[in-house]
Amino acid sequence: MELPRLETLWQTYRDKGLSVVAVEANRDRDRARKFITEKNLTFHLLENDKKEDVVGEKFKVDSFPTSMLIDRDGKIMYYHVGFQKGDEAELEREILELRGQ
Amino acid sequence: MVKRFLVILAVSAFVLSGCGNEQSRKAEEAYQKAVETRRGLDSPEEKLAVTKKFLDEFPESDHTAGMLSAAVYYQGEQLGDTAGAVAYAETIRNQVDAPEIERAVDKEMVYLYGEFGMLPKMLAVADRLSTAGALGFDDHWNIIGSAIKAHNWVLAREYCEKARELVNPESYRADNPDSKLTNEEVQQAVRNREGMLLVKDAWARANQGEIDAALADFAKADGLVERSYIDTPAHGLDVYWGEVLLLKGEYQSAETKLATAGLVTRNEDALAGLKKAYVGMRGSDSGFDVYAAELHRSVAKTVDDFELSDYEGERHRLSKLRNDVTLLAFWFPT
Repeated sequence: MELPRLETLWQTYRDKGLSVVAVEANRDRDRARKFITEKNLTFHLLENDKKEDVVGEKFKVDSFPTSMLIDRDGKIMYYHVGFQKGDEAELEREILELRGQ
Repeated sequence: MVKRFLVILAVSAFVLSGCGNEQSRKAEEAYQKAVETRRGLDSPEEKLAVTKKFLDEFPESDHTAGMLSAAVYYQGEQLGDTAGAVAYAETIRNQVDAPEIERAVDKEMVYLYGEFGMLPKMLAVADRLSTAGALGFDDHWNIIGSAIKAHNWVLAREYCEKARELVNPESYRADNPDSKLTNEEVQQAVRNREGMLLVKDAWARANQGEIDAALADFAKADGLVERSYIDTPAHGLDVYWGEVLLLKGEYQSAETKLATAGLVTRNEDALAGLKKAYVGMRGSDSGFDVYAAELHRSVAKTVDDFELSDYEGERHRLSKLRNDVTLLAFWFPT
């Protein structure tokens, strides 16, 4: 259940230079929609295109969740697979560090 | 363990029992209900209670192994009650009789005992599975991982050797009977298996003092294992390789291997190794932070742009959505 936690991060830093973009693997569209409505998610939510397969082909993602932080020049400064206790704090620390640059 | 559990959740959604009898239909219904209920819960205590309620009611079903894995994850990993998780798994194990379910549960027990450092028990179950001809590549892989975690290099190498017998297309197909992979994809998977074993065997070897042989194997593995989007090789190859290069005093090469893992994926061992390489080259750690920040920017990959639709069908380009900092996350609903 990491997406509701992303919503918290987004609400905290949306006016301070943070964008949040979540791409769903598009394996179960109905469940994804239901989840988004139930959890009241308001950041950018995109669906994978099965033909083009941005998730699998382009980004080679096969474990979920996979998250990355991109700086203003487009560089991937942080890359993380999975979501465990403590990851949220690490993510917030990394965001603050990148904003500070 | 998280990754493994997520995979199980994803797979279990598609594996529905085909048995026609009344009891298995009831179990299937209860399972679907339990999973749906669990989805709405946030705390591991509540999720554990729902999972255990299902297992206590239906200790023997197609979902025993999967639900047991979930229960152990909540109780052992998330709540930190290792002893309780093991004891619970054993009570469920003792209620299972059907050979196929027994084997699936035993595979979980191998993983569980290994994960919590109970190697003699792990090996006892592994022997039982092996005698039944049911010890697959993944089970070997789990044992190797547990042996390495326990610094038992001899055991790790023994199981690398055993697992090598399964590095061929026939064994891969036997381990994945339902997959519709092409011959080419199977070949790729086999190469990956070969690389996986080389990585772990070389690391164990290096710890036994065979540094040069280990370095040669790392180089071989580098051409075999899969790579992530940010170009790090799978199974921790770059971190192991970097650490062994440090032992040889090859600081510049070690830095190259450890930079992305240490700075972008924030692997603690890799970061500590980077510092050692820096000290090795310069004699002290003064100035390390400035150096690390520069290295970080120089190794960071530039993200590819893409365009996808939102749930209203509107198209968006990543480059248009970006800000000073952008969090890009890939997910699927569990």
